[in-house]
Amino acid sequence: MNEKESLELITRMIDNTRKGIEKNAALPMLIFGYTSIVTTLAVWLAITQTGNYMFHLLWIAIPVIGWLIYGLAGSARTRREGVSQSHMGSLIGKIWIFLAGVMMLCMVPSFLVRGFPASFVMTLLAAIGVSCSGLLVRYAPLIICGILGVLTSFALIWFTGITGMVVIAAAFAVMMVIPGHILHYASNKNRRNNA
Amino acid sequence: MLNQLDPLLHSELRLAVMSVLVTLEEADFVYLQERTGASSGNLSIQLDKLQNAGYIEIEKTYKGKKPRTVCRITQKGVDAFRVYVDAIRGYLDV
Repeated sequence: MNEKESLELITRMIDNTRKGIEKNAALPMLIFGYTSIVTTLAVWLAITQTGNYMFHLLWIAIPVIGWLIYGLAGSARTRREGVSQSHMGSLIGKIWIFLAGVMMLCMVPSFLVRGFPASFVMTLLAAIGVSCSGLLVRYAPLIICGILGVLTSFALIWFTGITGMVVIAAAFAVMMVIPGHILHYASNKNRRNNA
Repeated sequence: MLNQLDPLLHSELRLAVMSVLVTLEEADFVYLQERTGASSGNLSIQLDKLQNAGYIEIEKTYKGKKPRTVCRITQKGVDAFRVYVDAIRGYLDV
């Protein structure tokens, strides 16, 4: 191996690892994005049809179903491609664990304090998470969709109650599903170019 | 005068492994194999050489009942990689 080949190999390997971040980020965004939208619309439909507010308990389906699907899809990929953890991926993961903890904490006052804007706070926290992830990996679609998510979340100050749920679904579509598909498309394009 | 290239890193597979690990916190054996396209036996030998040189650390764990080998680059490995890249740049004048 000569010096030029060494440098090309280093550049290719590092580039492939960076592209791996694109590929790995798409899966959780699509899974949690779609799970959130389906759950939100299910809660909205159940309450508008029955008038029973106990259907709010269905919100717990987002972390439960989300992690279940992610665990199944992730383990299939792990067997096939192995596991790697980038420094940035680790940091982003810790940010999301912290935000998820705060979101869970927000559920407590939402049951105890009347008028607590839980949907606004939780959607805002999720949008901040998307924006921060985008800023850390310097990925413009994530930053833009995160900011749009922040702006959409403010609509929840005015659209409260049942109507607000449609806004929540729209916010998750903007800040998770759209960037998830953009990342997935970019990852597939890279794979085709490398093939 | 041009700097000498580290002979331990001037091998295609070992250099590929170090190039992958330098950008990651950790990677398991399957991931490194998938990235480098190396055979299990060859990769295992080269990982041992890098570990003996102190360039990487290897942790053998279990995930469920399956054994899992996790590799991490050490500070000595990062420094050696940096010196190697600088030396190559010197050779190529880039």
